[in-house]
Amino acid sequence: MGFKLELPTEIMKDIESLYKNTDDIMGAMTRAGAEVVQNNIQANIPEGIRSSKMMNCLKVTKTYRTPSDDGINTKVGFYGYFENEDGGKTPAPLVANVFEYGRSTEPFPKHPFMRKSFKRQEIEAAMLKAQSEASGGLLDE
Amino acid sequence: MNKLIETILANFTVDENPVAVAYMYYQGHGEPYVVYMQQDADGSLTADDELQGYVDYYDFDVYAKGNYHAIVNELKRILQANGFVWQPSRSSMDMFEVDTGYYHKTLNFAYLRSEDN
Repeated sequence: MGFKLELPTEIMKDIESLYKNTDDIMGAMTRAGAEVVQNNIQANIPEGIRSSKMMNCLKVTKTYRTPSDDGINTKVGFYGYFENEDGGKTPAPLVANVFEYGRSTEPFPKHPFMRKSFKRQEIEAAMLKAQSEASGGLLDE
Repeated sequence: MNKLIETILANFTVDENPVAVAYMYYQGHGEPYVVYMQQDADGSLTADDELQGYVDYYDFDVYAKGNYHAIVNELKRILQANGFVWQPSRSSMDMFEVDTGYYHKTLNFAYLRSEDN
């Protein structure tokens, strides 16, 4: 007696499609998560930054692969230099850091806005939505 | 919540040295000192469309002009012994202010609460 099972061609094609598009799907997911954080940062940002050229430094990077862990990443954060009204330049991450964690001296009241912008539930929901769209619904439960 | 923290950290001493604790801003003189404030809050449990429980996140900023690791360790110990949960990803790196000479580290702790407490 024998038993022979054949996977339907459609399922084989779906699996092949997922295999070929894994990087694109993962990339879309990380980008969607990063965009949620970017929107939250823009909503939570202190007025002192919102009305300055610091906003030009808030960026979402291109999606890239890290060879060390084979990871697919999209980062959001402050990049480059912030130029004040007098033309002085300060690294933008340093300025954001001062607002986030504060200083001992009075002119710099602490105003955390970065950490509270990473809302796990919102990020996961956006990533799952992107997964569904990028995979054509093949990975939906 | 502030009352709870003030009670826990009343007479906060490290290696027999008193460490001042203040809410939001330290107006005293001398160091080391710790400043605390609520950093964030997030819902943790809902039922019947009503919030049952939430998490308060508190920052504790340690400022010192010398080695502050003993203060950090003692702060972690005493807060964790009183129900706070340390949040490494919400805590800061080691920082130093060149102009004032202060070392600075932010420790973040979560505290699970309900509308009743």
